[in-house]
Amino acid sequence: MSEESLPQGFSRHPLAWLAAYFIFGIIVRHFFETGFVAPLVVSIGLAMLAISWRTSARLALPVTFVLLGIVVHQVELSAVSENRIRRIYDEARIASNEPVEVEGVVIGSPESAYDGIFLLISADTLLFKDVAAQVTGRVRLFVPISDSRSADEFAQLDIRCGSLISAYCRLEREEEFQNPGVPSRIAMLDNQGIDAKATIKSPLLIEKLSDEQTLIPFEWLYDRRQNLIAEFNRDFSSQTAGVLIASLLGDKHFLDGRTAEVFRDGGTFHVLVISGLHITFIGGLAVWFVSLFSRRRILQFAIAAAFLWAYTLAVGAEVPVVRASLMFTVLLFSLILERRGSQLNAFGACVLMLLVWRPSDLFTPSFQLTAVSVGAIVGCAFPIVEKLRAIGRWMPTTTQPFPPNVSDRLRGLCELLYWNEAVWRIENARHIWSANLFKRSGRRILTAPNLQSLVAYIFEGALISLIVQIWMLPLVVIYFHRVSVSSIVLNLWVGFFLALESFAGVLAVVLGNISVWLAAPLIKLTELLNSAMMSVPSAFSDRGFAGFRLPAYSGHGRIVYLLYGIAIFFVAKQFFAWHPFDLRRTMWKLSMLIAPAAVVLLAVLIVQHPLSSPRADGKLRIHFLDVGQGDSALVVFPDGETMLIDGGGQPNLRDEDDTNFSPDAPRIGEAVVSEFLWEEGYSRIDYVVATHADADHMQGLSDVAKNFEIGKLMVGSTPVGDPEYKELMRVANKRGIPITTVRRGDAFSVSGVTLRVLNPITNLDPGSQNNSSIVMKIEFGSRSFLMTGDIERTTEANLVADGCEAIRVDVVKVPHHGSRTSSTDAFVDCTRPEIAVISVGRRSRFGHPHAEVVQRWRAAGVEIMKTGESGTITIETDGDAIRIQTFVP
Amino acid sequence: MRTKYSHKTVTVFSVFFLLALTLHHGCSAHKSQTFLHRDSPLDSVSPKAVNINTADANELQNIPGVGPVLAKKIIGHRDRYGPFRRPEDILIIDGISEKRFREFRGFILIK
Repeated sequence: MSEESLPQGFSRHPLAWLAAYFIFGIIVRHFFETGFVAPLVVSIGLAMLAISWRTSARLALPVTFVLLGIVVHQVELSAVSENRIRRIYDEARIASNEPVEVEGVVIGSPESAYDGIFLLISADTLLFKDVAAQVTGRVRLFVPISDSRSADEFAQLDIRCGSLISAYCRLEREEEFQNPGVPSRIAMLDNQGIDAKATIKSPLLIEKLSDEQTLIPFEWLYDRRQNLIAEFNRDFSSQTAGVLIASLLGDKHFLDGRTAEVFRDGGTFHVLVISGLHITFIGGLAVWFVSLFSRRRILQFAIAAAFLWAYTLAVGAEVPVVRASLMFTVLLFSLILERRGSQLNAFGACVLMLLVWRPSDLFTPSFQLTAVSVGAIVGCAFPIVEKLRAIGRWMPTTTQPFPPNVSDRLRGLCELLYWNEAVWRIENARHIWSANLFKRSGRRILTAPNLQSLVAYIFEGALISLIVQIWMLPLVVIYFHRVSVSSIVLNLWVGFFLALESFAGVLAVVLGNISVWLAAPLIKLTELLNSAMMSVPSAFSDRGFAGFRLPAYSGHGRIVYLLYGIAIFFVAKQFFAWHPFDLRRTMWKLSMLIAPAAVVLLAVLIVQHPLSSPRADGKLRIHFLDVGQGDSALVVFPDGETMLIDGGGQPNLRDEDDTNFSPDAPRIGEAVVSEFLWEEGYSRIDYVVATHADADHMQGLSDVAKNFEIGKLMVGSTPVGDPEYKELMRVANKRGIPITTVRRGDAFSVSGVTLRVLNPITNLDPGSQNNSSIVMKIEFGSRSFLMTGDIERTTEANLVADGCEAIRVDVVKVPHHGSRTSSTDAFVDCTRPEIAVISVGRRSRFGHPHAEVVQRWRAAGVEIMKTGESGTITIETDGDAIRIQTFVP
Repeated sequence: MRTKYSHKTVTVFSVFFLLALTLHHGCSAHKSQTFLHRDSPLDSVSPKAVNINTADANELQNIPGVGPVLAKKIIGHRDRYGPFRRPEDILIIDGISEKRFREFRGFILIK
């Protein structure tokens, strides 16, 4: 039956279209205030119309679904109850970081991490200032476990799924690192379905009130998971254990930072997160296992689904896992029903269900990545693979008496992969007639049938992987700023070895319960498989051809991604409509090349990003970034050249001897500074200045040096013993970045802007790091800026001693985050700026900025601005007027 | 066919055997977990213990390890957020570490 025989307007996958309309509705509500009543009334009316008068359904149904999308999203947005924790904090009824006592029931099992335990609580009471209030919402609590004593104390609490606990902690729900391009912290919490989070200082601040009844199977599942985590950690090396725990048990907290980076670099990180790939694998395994016993498809489906959902619950039932499981279940169900073309329909059903459940998920990266990748597989990759198989396996039948109408080369390739001579011989013998088929001679190379199917598997894997990559290009560029061409190959490699490693690892742990001797060789094997899995991606990553980083278009430039999506849709549609056995059509028309050409053109535009960085407009701009406790400022010169002064960072609070494990935690240099630079559209920074080797200034620069092309790196002194300095030099040498030292008296000019170095006096490292910070005066027209690093009294005195004229400026970056070690009266008096910028976190561990320092600047009539409060502070001058913009209005 | 069938049976039985073993192991591990009771706040409190909800700055400094700065912080916290509900609650104050708390645990009480 071909497409043409269907009635006009009939679609084989109506649900996919309805899902698309529904999505459109949610988008409409996202951008426009629509209210609630009007769309609901109209959609009900139209639905009635469509039912009673069938011919109108073609127009009424789409409109109804658009309106339903609007309604559902509206309901979600307005249904946050008055006593929801989210609202209590958003309306500032309680401020973040105030001590509160939160009482609630533990959801799921406590999740162990290398340095503590995470608890997810469904809260019911909040006690603040001795007043208790009934609340709803979820909070995530982290309990750091620093020594065996606190581990014991936590164990004594015996907290498990369903325990009612009360914890005294400082709940937080607030933004952090507020810069363009840096994802909102509150939005990230909301995406995870968490209202607020807190770190509980000590297990002693937790009290267990009672145990509520939980279902025994759940408790058993959670127990098994906890035990398995402990057993993996006990039996394997930290890298192998981290990989196995993340990929099998869904707990990423044991993953080593460097390992994770290798996976990210090669575009294979998704295998370490329980995702569609896992769920497919586990579900497929379950189906295969059941199929050994029963050929009844419905039984296969029921048992596989039950097993899959048990697994989903055991690994914590996080939203992305539930999403993947639901998709798999529905797609499997559609296969059981065996309806032609139903996969895309089932996919539409999934999307509809997921969006009715949580409409705002549409705007989360996780949902988009899942939906687009599954869409690519179901809507494009599978149909293509099926058609290629049909071409390769063609033999004359009554429905398809003629060979496929495709080019010889394509037919040759397909026959090489799929033609099975043995099947043909049997088939040929069954008929009263006989035929000679002339298949490509090339297939003789792959005579062994196993070899042929192996090659076919690899080919299909690579093809599917390639198609998914092409579909996902805009998403990976926007969210990860990374293109990994090698991921097509690496995914196959990593997927194969991880599957083997998982089997070996699970078997080793299971056998380990019986006999240590039996398990020992398997543990060895698992380690071996792990190093095999890591070898190729590591080699790719080390040589720097695993992938590269790139900026995204922002603002109106985003339209490029939309156009790319539209072009991809049309290409997919062409492939979907392609009938290799249709004799009537001529294969290629010029008009068919428009969409593919558009995809290629737009892909080049996205990857090469020729238009992403802002155009030079003859103005000098300085962006002071909000990097929390730390410094980072981007100077954009009038001709568009760029200079980054410091890159933020976090001091390493862990012991130095613990170096073989570094947790996979987001770093300021990557998650804040690089994100900002990418959002601005840069892939190259012309000058990078490291004022001095404190972690909160220099650490982030290592990440910047990895992610961007750097013209020149400038340092003031060379403290070779300092770990942050060593790391920066290692990256700079590896990437071939020229390094120069600057000191007092150096001056250079960039596009009409003069930069004068006022400190350090010598490049030899003196005692105090802070006082040897690079101090730079930036002059443009009649305006000037003073960048001061962390200088303290001594250096300030030196600067003042050389005469106030040299440091009288319009804008000062206040030295040392407003610490009382700096900003002496003489210095304040001498510089006497209009504006003083303090680069400091909203809450500093060191109490920065100190009140007396702020007072000192204010008393001199200076306007104080803090990055922690204002987010990015941008000061712009044409050499005459000064204009200030802040990210937080 | 017969050999294939027996092969399948062996696989399946061995898988179930292993599953049963892990199940057994999981339950036994659960049962063998010892449950220790927390130190009751009353049995180890010194007669000189200070009531942190009513004590003034001078009295607070009778607690070992608490100086004027910490005493001021404790009173500040009490004034701002109300009385402490449990002795452990004092840990929330910046500057009181688990270690220090363990040292003066016996010298504080709540009334």
